[in-house]
Amino acid sequence: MGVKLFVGCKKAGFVCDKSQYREAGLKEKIGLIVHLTYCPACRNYTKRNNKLTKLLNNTTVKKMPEEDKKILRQRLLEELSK
Amino acid sequence: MPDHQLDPHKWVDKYSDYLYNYTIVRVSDREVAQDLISETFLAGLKSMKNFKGEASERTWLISILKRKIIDHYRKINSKKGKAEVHIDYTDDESEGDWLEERVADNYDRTAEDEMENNELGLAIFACLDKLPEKQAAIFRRKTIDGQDTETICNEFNITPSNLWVIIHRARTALADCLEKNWF
Repeated sequence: MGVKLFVGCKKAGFVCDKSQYREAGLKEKIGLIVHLTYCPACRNYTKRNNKLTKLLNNTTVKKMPEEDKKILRQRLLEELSK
Repeated sequence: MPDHQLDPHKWVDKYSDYLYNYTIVRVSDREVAQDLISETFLAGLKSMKNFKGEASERTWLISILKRKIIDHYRKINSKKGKAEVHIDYTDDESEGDWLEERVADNYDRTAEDEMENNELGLAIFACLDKLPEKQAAIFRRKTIDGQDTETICNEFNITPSNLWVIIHRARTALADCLEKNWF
């Protein structure tokens, strides 16, 4: 399969999402970049999407450790079954 | 008819991360945080009948948690002395510099940054809370836990393209929500 240079907005958005998780292939990315040169809406979407990723990475989004959750769940269940 | 209802079976899955973020900057100790949250849930169970449904479940739980945190500090403070700030200098030369050092306190800045980061974390969890449950769950796995696409697809029994559609919707909604509440 060759490189598809012109892709629709739907495909572009999809590739943009994937690239936020570093899961977009090179060919897909080329399609996205070409699309972005002539589509302001997708440029805007990409900008926001990148910003969101940055925010998510910058934050120390602390998750409660899984084993702690387990204990909590158990305590709650015990209490509920009383 | 109340607007909100309580569902204790989902508390841990839905709110423990949010409550943990909230607690950990205030007590900075994992075990204490865990205890306080556990107490919060139990207290919540006991006073379920007092819940009028005016606030959301999360707001209600946070209001209980706040009180638990205050109680926690009261308890420690009653063991006098621990909450005081001690500045001791071992050598005489540096004595008297402490005021300046306080002014240029680097730790303070990082603490503030951390606070801000933590607030952002809370905002993110609060926004996640507004998404449909399945969307939020999948987004969490993918973005916060960093699980790979295949694992999530298997667990939720969906195809990768389903997953990306869900992720797309979640990201759009989250960006909207954060723009409103954070910037």
